[in-house]
Amino acid sequence: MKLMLCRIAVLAITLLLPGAAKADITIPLTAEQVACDQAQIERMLGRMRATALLIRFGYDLPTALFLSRSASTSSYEGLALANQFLRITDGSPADPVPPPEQHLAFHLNPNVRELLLNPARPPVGQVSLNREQSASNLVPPGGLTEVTLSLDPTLPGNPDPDLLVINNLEVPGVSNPYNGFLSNSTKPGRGLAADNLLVPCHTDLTAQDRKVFLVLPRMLRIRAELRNGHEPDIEAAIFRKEDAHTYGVEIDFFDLSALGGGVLGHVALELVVSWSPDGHLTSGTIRVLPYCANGETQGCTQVGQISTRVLLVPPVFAGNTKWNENDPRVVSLFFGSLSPIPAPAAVNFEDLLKDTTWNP
Amino acid sequence: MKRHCLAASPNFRQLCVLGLLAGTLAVPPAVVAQLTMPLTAEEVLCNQAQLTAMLGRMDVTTGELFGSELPTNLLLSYSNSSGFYEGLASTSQRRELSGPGGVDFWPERHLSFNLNPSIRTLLLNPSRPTLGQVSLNREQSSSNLVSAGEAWAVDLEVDPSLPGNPNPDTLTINNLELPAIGSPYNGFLANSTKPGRGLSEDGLLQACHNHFTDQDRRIFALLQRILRIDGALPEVELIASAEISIFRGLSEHVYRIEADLLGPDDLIRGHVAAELEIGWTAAGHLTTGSLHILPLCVEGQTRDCTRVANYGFLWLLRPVLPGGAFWIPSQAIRVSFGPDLPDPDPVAIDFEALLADTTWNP
Repeated sequence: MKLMLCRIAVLAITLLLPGAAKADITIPLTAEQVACDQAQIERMLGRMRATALLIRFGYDLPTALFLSRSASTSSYEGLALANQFLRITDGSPADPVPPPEQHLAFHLNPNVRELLLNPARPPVGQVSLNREQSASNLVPPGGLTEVTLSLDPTLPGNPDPDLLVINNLEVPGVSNPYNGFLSNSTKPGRGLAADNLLVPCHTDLTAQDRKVFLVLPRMLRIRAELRNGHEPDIEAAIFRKEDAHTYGVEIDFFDLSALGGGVLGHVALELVVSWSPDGHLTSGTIRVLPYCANGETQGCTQVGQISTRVLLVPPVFAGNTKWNENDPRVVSLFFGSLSPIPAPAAVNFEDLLKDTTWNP
Repeated sequence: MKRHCLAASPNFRQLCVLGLLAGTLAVPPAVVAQLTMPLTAEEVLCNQAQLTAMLGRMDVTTGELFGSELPTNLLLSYSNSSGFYEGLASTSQRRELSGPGGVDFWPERHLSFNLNPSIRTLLLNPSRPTLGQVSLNREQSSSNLVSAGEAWAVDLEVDPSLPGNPNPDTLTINNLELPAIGSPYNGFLANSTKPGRGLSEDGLLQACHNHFTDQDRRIFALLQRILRIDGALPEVELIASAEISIFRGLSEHVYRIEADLLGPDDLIRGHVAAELEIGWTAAGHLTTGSLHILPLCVEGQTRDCTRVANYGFLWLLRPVLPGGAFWIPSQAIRVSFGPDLPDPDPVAIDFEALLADTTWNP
């Protein structure tokens, strides 16, 4: 009986769902929309932190954290990863061999119900940080690369904020010791609401935008040498620009192994991506925006003495294979440490993605 | 399992403040508009069919009390205009409608959840085909977390697979508390992400329309907390579990309820349909309304009608703290349904009184 009712329901849905809208694959945005998107993502990143465990005393892996909007809904999605190289190495044979990248894919749902268990308590907007298991490397605790992502959803001035926390620890067998795995975290989001982070700036992002938002974190990598010789941790905001084919990436450098934790450098990138009418990515360009001047802080690059390489690499099987900087398909841009901003580089997306199923 | 149909430097702070200012200036102002929007018949039917089909893929189980599971109410509606689902699985506060020695009550326990159908399609391995994912998430702030083995432990499973899969890989969450690190893992699951091929194939991951408003969402969430259905099972005075779809009707003020009553064997034992009209002020404050059980089904009719073999009640209750108190039947609005109640009169509802002890109706 239940089976029959469900089949009738499914048949009805098939007949009643609206047809796919015939629309441009992406939509031009206004300058205000772009500025709003960028500011929201950067503010959200300012509340986030991705960390990786020490792989051995004195050795750890720098992290990368990418964040974008999830198309036209009000949610965010991103990727936190432990890099495939050590934060610092002197080339000694005693150095540990770092494993391939370990990924923690996540999304943030700001649409969680406001009603709490106790009806006498005032409703409060909740946010939910969720790991996406199918796109994450799940590892045992104490293993090589445990990645933890935290998000502070509280109002400013809270000395002991109640953080949203998830990690990439595997689910243990029942009755085995609980290892601390956290796949979901739901908390009040007062601070996010006060920061206007829970209302989308607009609804003009499309599935094609989202495709680019999701592919870039699997391809964009930064290598740099801070003044202390460390590779930086990075946080990257990915967003659409006004032109329907242009994407912006604003990247901050940190050193989470050092005291202070402030921003040590900033790189602004612009990618122009071409595609066929059915969304197949073809070619494009990547350029590093000019060095900041006259007090600029965004939309420009400020790396000082930090020698920096921006790479677009062919995606690899995370947790299984290391990407190879010497692959002839890799696009590489070098700057910083008194070197000028390089000329824009051509990108062959078909070539970079040819070993994947992501560019049909 | 039953059968389914399937911290920061000065520079950094400065950047954050600049970003906040830019964001505040650029977020579009709220548009003054109707609190809810009329829907077309097709949109209503599409919502109804989606919720029915999704509930058909869901299964709630509880721990055991005196040797058997507790009856449950599983309520499902939408959480936004983008096709997210939101729901509540609640244990019933009693097992029997009546009994010679009275009826035992115990507080409901809740597992609140949402289902996000919009997860990235790219997998870890880029040579594997992209695959739509769905994510089932518990909402901790509105769930009662309990110890493993308690009668109040609630498991929720969703089968996202294609038809004919004899061993479906279900999405599973529960309301078990987080154990201390190093103590035995109790099986708590707060989130589950799996491929959603079957859901996609059934049209369950695409929004029927984008006409739900904040007021609709507020009422959906509210009804999950105050609407309960107790249907008597034919063989004994036990209460049936209920799977309840909550969706909008055509008119801006009308909400629809369709519920399947399930026996302990998870077979459908009856169906209850109701229509709820809700009045509100311009600010959205709920005032009065009426609740109407839809007439008995005629031959061949399966939805938009009531078909039961025994009596039962649809309740609109005064909300209480689940896990801490049980709601008082004499303080709730009760509407009866039964095999010889062909078209019961609508019952008036005073939402202000019903919600007086809450902060939910400002």
